Amino acid sequence: MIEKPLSRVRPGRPPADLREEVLRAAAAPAVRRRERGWTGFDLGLAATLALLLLGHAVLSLHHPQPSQPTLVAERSQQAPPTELRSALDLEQLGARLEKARGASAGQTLTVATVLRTTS
Amino acid sequence: MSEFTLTAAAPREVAATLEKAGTVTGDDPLLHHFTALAGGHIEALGGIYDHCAADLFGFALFRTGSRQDAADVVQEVFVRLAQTGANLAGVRNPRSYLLAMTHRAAVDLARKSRRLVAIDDAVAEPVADDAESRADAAAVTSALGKLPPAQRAAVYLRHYEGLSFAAIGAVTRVPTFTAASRVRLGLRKLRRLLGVTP
Repeated sequence: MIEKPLSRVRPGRPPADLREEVLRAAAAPAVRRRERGWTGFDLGLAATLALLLLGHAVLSLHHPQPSQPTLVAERSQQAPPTELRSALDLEQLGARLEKARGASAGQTLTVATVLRTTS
Repeated sequence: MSEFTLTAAAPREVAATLEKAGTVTGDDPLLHHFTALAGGHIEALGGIYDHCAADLFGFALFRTGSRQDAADVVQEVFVRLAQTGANLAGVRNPRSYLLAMTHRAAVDLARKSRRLVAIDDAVAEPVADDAESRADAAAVTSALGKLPPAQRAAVYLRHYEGLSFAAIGAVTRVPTFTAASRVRLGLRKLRRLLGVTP
């Protein structure tokens, strides 16, 4: 049986000084945690972070970021933009100018003349 | 002492598995030390050390094959114990919890160092001061050196801790079948190396 030679031996024992070394290493972080508490640096850091968060929140409220996709969608559903309307008006005005030029040959064309002739 | 990481969540799962497997002993004095440590009494670490550090060191020694590494593992286990603090209050089987922590720490150390460790002469010691026991110790140590670390750990947990295959699997985080295979293969190899007939 293999148990017989295994029973006549035991696993190696830890060195005598291991206890003190292990307990010192294990207790040190816990002691540091207990004694530490809130230091001035911790409080300053927390206050700075809180101020930064507050400032960011206030700025976000006063300067909302535009939403480009929404704007494009809204504009596509509205009336033609001003530039397009102006272009259409100019086209009509050109047509009316040609008409007035034919009706009043030799005269100086004014806006009033054009409007009167083509109305 | 070298530093390496150790997760504390896994041993709790191990303890739950061991409870299901029925391997939890009823009245465990370690529980008192664990409760005290969970309550912030750091001096309870001394009681835990006195109660089971020799076993944890032996387990780590079988797993790592090195006395220095085993000492590192035990130290890491106790540092982690101190850091776990209040979470220890939920541990129902402290011994298995500690064995699982030890195994985890030994595996972490082996992964970190990535070196082949020649097994120390004193992995197995004679229980009596006679020639036959000393010869047995030398032979067993030599034979253990020819086993993979996982098999050495399984043999230790089976023979010296008396754990079931399921409990060994829970401690070493492998399926029960794998744990049983490791024990059987390890013992078979030891028998052959020691010239023992089954």
